[in-house]
Amino acid sequence: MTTPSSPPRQITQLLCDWCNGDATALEKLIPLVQPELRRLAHHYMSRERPGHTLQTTALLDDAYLKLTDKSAPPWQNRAHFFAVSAQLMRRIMVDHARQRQALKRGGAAIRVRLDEAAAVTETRATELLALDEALEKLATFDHRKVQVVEMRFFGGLTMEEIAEVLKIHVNTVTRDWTAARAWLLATLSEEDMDAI
Amino acid sequence: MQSERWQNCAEIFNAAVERPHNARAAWLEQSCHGDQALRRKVELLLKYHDQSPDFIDSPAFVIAPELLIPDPNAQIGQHVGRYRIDAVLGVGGMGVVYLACDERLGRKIGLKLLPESWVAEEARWERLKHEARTASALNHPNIVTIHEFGEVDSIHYIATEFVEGTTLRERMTTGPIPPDEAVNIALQIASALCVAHGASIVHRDVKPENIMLRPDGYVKVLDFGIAKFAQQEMLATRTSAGAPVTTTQGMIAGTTPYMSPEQARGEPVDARSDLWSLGVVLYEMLAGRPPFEGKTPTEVMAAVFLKDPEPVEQRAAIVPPALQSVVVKALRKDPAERYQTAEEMLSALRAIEEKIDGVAAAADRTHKSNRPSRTARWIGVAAVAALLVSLAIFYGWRNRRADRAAPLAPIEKSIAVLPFENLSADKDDTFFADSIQDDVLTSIGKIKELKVIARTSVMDYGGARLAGKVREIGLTLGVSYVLEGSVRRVGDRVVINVALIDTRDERRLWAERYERTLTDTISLQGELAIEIARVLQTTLTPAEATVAIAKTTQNPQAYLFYLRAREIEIRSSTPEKAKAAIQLYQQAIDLDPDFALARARLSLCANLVGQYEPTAPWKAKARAEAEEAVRLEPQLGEARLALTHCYLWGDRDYDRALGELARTARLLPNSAEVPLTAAYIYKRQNRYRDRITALQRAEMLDPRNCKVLGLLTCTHRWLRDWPEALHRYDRYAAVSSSSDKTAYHWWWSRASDEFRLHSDINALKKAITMETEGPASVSADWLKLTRYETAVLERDYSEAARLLSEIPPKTFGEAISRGEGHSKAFHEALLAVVVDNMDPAARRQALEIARMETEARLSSGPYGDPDEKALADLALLYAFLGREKDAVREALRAVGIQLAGTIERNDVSSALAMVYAHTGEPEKAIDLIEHLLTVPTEVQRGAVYNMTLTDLKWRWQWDPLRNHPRFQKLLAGPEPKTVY
Repeated sequence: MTTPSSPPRQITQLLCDWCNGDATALEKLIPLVQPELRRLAHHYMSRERPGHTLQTTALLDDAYLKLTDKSAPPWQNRAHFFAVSAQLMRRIMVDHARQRQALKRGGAAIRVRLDEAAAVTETRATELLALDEALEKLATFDHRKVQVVEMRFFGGLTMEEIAEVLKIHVNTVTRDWTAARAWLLATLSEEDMDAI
Repeated sequence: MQSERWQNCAEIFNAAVERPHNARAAWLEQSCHGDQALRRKVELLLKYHDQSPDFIDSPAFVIAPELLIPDPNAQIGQHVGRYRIDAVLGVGGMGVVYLACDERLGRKIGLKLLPESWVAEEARWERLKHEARTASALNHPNIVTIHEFGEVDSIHYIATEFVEGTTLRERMTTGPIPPDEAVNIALQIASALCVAHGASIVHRDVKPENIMLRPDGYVKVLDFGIAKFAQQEMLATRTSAGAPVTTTQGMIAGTTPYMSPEQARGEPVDARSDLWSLGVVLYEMLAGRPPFEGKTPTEVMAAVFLKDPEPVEQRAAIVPPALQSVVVKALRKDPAERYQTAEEMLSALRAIEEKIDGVAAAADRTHKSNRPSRTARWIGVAAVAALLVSLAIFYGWRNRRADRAAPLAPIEKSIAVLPFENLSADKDDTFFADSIQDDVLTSIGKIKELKVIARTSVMDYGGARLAGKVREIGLTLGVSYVLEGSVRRVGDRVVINVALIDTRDERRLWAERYERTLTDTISLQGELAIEIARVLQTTLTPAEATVAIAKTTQNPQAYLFYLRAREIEIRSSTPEKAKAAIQLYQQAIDLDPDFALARARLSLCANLVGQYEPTAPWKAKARAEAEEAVRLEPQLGEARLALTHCYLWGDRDYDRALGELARTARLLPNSAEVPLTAAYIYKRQNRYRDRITALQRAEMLDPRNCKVLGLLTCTHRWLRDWPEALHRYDRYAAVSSSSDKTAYHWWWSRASDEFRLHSDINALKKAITMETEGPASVSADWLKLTRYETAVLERDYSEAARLLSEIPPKTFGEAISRGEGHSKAFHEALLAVVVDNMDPAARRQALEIARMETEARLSSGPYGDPDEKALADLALLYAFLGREKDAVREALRAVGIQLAGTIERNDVSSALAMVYAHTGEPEKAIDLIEHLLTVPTEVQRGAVYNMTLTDLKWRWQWDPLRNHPRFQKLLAGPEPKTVY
């Protein structure tokens, strides 16, 4: 590794701690992982063109290769890393979406004009926050489906990878995904889905 | 309980999804067991499932990667160092790019804030800085200039030239680009690559996102040096993660359809890789889509490695075969089969552009047969103008194209009006012939669509047709047409012959004979302008037509005075000549008080005199005449120009002057005086880059004007761009006549810049030899002065003292009156300080004499300010006299006189650094030097403060710092780049 103070070892350890139930580990992880995710996001955006996108896991793959310590891998496999990273990713994206909303409300005075791209981002931020809220709701009665959505939508994992992490059949993952998605979309469309 | 109910609901839903639509109702009936609430929920799920099958199907970071990064807009209004962030220009792999304002220099810049991870390591940042510094040395109109790299509060940034316009990517969203435009864009990119490759810089990421199209047609390539780093950085990331760069990983590291095969394989790349990328860009411009496509990056890469692209002509409407060949050759898989250099590709593109031009020219000629009949021409200006407007629809695209090609090729509709031959018996009438030429020139210069060469650049070309020099003139001045003519005056009768000639084939396009009385001659220039516009198929707006035919005066006598004055004005710009011109203009105005043009020119001359002499009366005169001229003729460009000069020289209100100048520019599109004025203003706003652009425009319109070339040289020297300064000297030498009184001064100045380029004193010695033996005769005093300066630098003080004693004080005094150099007493004092065996009393006496002499000069500065240069000299004398406090105080006072950021202030700051060096403050001195070496400087002949690395090396005045490690380190390195 080129970095002197070996944050990978630290990150690996924190990921372990978090998996073992240490909730404070997440708070410590975010600042360590965030710059890397940002860099990858920048990179991703610079290459984003219609009909020409990266493989969906490439971004996390990069993060995985960069951030984890391979001299003593406590991780059984990439999939576990992805599962955890998916939650991190959700957390980071939602935080940013929230900041943007705050900026839109509070800091509008300094922005002269909202260009088209910025407007799209605003819409996405709003949508993402609504989705996050719906996921919170779903988590109160179906934790596993939330995990599937997280891994698939925030982590970009394939059904097979999710099945591997959750140790369930891939068909079950597909069914969870289909049901969760329909429920989320219904909820976001302001259908009353609570009183089941 | 709720969870169980939901699980049940989900199971029924999943099972329903797996059934055909028509079987679902039965399934729900069967599985819900009459639980209507449950059934309603499942039905809702099914409804939304069917409604939007792709909901959240793509990962969040694909849909909205921007949500992974902080909102770039949050930075708007913030400051990074002296830059104020105004807007977001773009977000990319290299961080966010903002439009910012450099508050010190008051100019717009592009500000890249680099991602934290890029600069997390010192070594990586250093590498990046090194790369980019190399690239920042590139100076080319098609390469975006890097102003500065820096770090403030651990934010790392790169400040670059701000390029207005759109990216080529944005331009291509509307579909393919017409071949002529695509060739022009590719040509400019290739031109940028030539220069970069010449400096061993490979771009590595030529793609439409990195290419800016300015509204004026200039193409600018972004991110030289940095793009390369970005890719290396990506690769480094991967390898640092312990994985070798395999094909798959290389693909991810730099996935781009613009990468050459060798680059995609992770092999070393050279210039030819950039040419591949340019080939891809060219293909995409023509076809509207890239040559190598695929659903996944792997497929794209496979195509790059293996597939020959579909011939571009099968995808695009019309692509000349030669252009298709260029694309094919650029996209050869084997670099050895491609163009080997950017120059090769550039010349291939140029050949195509010429061919396209040729086709268009043929279309021109066909069209000319349809031109209006001779009688129709005289129906009226309005009719002609209307017709020309309709022709403009046909010619419009060509002229736009011609504009874009401006830096590269002669402009199609460009003309030089050669001196008219005087055929009168009275040879004094030469001025009359010249004046008619000037008049015609003034009129056609107002036609925006024409490029018209200024008079100063054509003065030496009389009788060119007879001498068979027309073609040569076309090449030298970059014009396609010349107008030549003759004038014969007998009493009140004037006969004028004119002919318009195509310089490319020396064909006579049109000729006419006019017989007039002197009174009628006044309107002749307007008629000629209209006629020339017609022959050249130029669009003349009704406003232009009105201006062109407007009579400047009805009074022939006033007109003659005007012509005389104008003649004097154009030949020389000394204050004496300007005063003579003012007298004649005044006589013209006395005869015709409504003669706005004469008033405007008088005002311009008055402002010129005002720069040399006590100003108040001249300022008042200039202002009164300018205002009266504008009142009489608000649309007269010269009147607006005069007003601009009043704001500039009189009020020193530079923003207002620029505003007025913009109005002037629309009225005088071909006047070199307009960009020249802009250059004066930019100097005062410390906008050196804009100044150079303005001067280059002036040079284009007036290529043989020594004043313009002189200012260009001078500006490049301020910026320590020695090679460019030398290049301009050589242009000057080629243009100026050898009898030019100032030529030998230039010779010495040139040697001085060569000295500063190589730090080699032989450049000066050679110049002395040339002065002694060369053709230019040099005054004995001048020769001694140059020898003296060389001896001081060589530290041959006894020889220096001998020479100095022989030079009369007035030789120095003349320089001081121009704001240059030092007095003789000052030089004597400095010599007394440095000579070893000097008697202390004699040394003191020399210093005191110089001190008194300098104190006496303090109040003699122009505009009534204290003379900061004299003050600086005084401060240094105090330092040598041991009056350290006085020295620092006066030096600081000198610095405070000029505004921050001006070269005058920088110049005096160098004196302050020298004072620090001699008052036991080496750290302060070096701090200041380090700063001053990066800002524009006034390099003056014979001034001891000149702040260049060469001066620091050679001048004894810097000896107190010579053993200081920081100073030694400074001298060991290359001269820092001047930031501007």
